[in-house]
Amino acid sequence: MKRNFCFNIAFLLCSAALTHCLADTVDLSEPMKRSLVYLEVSSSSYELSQPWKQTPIAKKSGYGCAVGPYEVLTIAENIANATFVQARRYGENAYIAATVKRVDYEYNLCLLQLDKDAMDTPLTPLSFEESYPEGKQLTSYWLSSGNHLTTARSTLDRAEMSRSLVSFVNTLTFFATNVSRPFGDGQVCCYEKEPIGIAAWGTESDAGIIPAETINRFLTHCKQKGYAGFAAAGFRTSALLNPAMRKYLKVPGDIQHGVYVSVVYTIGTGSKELKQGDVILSINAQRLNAYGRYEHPEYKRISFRHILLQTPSGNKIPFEIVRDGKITTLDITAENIESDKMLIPYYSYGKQPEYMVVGGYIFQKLNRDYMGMYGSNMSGKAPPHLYHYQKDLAFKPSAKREDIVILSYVLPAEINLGYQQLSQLVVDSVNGAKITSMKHFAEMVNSAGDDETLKISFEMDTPVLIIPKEQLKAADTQIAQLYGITKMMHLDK
Amino acid sequence: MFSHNGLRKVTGSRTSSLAMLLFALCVFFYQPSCFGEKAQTYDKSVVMILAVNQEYDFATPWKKGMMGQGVGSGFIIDGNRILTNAHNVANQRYIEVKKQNLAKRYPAQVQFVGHDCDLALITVPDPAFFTDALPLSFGPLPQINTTVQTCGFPMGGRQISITKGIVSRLETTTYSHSQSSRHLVVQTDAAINPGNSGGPVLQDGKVVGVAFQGLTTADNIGYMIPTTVISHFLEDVQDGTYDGFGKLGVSLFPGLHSPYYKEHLKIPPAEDGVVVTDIPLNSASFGKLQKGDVLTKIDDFNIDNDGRILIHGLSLGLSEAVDRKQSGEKIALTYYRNGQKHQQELSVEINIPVIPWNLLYDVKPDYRVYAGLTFVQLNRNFLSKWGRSWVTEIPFDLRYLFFEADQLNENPLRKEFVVISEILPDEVNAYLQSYKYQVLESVNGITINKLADIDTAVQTDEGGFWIVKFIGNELPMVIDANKARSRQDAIMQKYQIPMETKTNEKEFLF
Repeated sequence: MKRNFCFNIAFLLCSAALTHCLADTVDLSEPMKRSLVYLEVSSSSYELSQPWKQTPIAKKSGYGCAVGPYEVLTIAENIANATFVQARRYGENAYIAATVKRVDYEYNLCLLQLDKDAMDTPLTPLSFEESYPEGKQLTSYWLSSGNHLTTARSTLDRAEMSRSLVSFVNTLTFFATNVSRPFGDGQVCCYEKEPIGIAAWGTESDAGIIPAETINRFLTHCKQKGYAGFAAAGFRTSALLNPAMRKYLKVPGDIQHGVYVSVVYTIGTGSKELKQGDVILSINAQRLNAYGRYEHPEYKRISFRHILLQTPSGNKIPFEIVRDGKITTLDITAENIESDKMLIPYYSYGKQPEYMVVGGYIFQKLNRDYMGMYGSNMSGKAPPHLYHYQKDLAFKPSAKREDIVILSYVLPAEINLGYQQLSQLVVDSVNGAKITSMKHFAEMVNSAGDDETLKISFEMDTPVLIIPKEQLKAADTQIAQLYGITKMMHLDK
Repeated sequence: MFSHNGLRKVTGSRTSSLAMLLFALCVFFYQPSCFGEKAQTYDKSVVMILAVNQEYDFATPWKKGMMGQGVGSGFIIDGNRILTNAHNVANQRYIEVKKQNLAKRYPAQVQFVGHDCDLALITVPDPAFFTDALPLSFGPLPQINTTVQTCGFPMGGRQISITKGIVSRLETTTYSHSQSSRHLVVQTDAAINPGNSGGPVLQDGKVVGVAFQGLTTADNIGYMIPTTVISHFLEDVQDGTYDGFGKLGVSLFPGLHSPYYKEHLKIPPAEDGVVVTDIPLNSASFGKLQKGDVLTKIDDFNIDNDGRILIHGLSLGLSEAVDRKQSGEKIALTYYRNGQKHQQELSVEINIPVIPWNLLYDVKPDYRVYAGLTFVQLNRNFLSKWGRSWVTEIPFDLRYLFFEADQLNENPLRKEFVVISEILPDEVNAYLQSYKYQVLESVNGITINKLADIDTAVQTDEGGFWIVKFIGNELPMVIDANKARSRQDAIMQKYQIPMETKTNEKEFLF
């Protein structure tokens, strides 16, 4: 009897292992042929220091999958700065034009609409399964440029909040290791028969996957009227480990958790409600540890930013905090951060930089792309005063300061004699008025009468720029011709 | 920008055998015709200087830095004195002087050292050394395209080596020893190599310069310190102390090239000059000149639109007029303010910047250690810790402060910036590692204007805590004051930090 029992157990184990083994090698190549597309994206941006010029057109490949009969999902990075997007299906030579229906750089996701008329049959939409098979083998599928259905294997290692390559927010990322061949441009990643995410980046050994929970939320909101985005933190935290610090902040002795609010921005979730020095004990009833992580049933300890990222803009999120030794709960309105609203915009994909050429002086709005000119060691190479704005004040715009306007370079001409070596200066005022934005700058310059002189002053140790308005018209015409400037000014509408 | 500009000092070093190989050709290549009649006399005037030096450690000052030994040249002048370069004897622990034909080495002592002009006076206590000496005397600024001879001990050697060249030009450049002071130099194509440093450059038997640096990135560009700078130094030390070169302490912009700026500043069309764009706190001109003033004349020299004056028959920066003055002497400035012409006498003063840009030598850095946190002055020497490319490698907040201190510091009481240079691990600072390299704003509400202010501040506390605030960082540092006090002795012992009471003998040294 006893022996018989043992045998039964052994049999069960064996059959479980067998089915598991079979499941791991599920091949979805055939059905995927009806769902995957290859994307060819033409892109172009603008010269950083000559913003009237477009950079040469570049072509790049990306991968997408159907989420509707004529709708394709890919990563936002693929279509950043895109001028034209076209798709190809399996076994077909014809390209199908695609337009961007919705893009969310924070989620790094993009929904494309394919040209129905160019398609004989609709695509077969995939649906994404919200599961987290940690330690299991994943198979990624994509349609290559050569129209082959291609696959790669990898192992799902962990879930983490990590910085997206295209935005300033941290997003939920599944980390895959042991990749059999590199992938990371929108490939569909499946566990067994179910798609569980799409690949956002990849190296020779690892890949980052945007999980189904993010994708499904994105797609749901795409169907709704308006797309408000999701909460981004309007504050920065520091680990609260130092017992002396906890005592000083009067965190009750029996409380060992909670994270310190070290900087509060002027935009984003909590920017209006939180104060520097607050200790956040919990967000949405999830208790935060001293590093600001909470215990997720599946992902284990994960940053509080995960809670924010799930909350649509406009919703309320309860924050339990310690302020001045008292525990209170604040109902904080979820607020996303738009790059354009930042003092130093983090990205401005596909948009021409705001600039104005006046008397050969190139004035432009400072943004992160511009700072990118100084390369990877930006903090060591960029003029420190400019970098200081990006490092310390990027998320702190105000009504008094919406943009940082800089004099980037001077195109030498007679009108700017004596000033030609000036560059990388931050504009302080025009004719005595403090400059609040690039638009304000342009207004001040344009509103000055023809017989006036423009007096432009800069921050730090700098001279005052004097431009006679009456000579400006003739000089600008000459400079435009001389340096081939097609457009002397560009402002966002 | 702050660059080395390929300048190198020309002290020989026994350790740099590779450099010796590279320069070997230059060392032994000479023309017999160089040995004129006077060559014989130089062995009684030119001496070899051997110095042992030890650097200071500006991050953990109780530890001593690297030891080194250098060979340079020097020459005897009146009053049993030997003139040489400051960099030959900087941070010296022991000096010996040797004559060409004598095996005996004489221990020597530094009398005066001017690190900003790279000159030093040393002497030998043994009077026998000077018995047969022929002191050299000084000549004027040499003319361009005239011949000069250099004498010295390039790459060491036993014999005086003489090279010959012409005066290529005179200009103002950075003295690489201090990395920041700029003075007049004479450029020559006479070979100047490591070891030549401190040796005389002669014309018609008179010294017209002291060989001191060269350009590594160019061929045959050697520099000497001209007699204008030498005589300033010798005159300065007559009162028994070396003060250094003064400054006007203003930022200037050559903006009058723009007729519109000129009109805006109400300057008559016939006038030339430069625009004052900034006057740092506590500088010589602070409270005297204003932003937007236009300097047109300094003493009797007219200032042109490039900020240059005609002096010594050359067009040089207006600082050359200031360099002629000893500190405390008056200098007359003519300037326009709101269209009105004014004249004012300013006294030339030694500028003490809140962050020294000059490399400091012969100054034992001061420090404080509390709760295992090491506090030191933020200066150029401390930043050298990041190595050759310190400019781009230092933490951003330090870089911003270093380059823009004049603009960022609005506190006239500030003497220096104090930085946490090292954290000596202990239970009291277990969670404070992230504050390394932060610059102090205040401790317990007491503004830290100088290192010694910390001593006062740590006597106080805020409810049992030391609250340290930093510049450009909203995150305060909180330390349990009682724990810190009780751990103090243990930390000092554990890390072998001498508990001497420190006194700063000099506020600032070049």
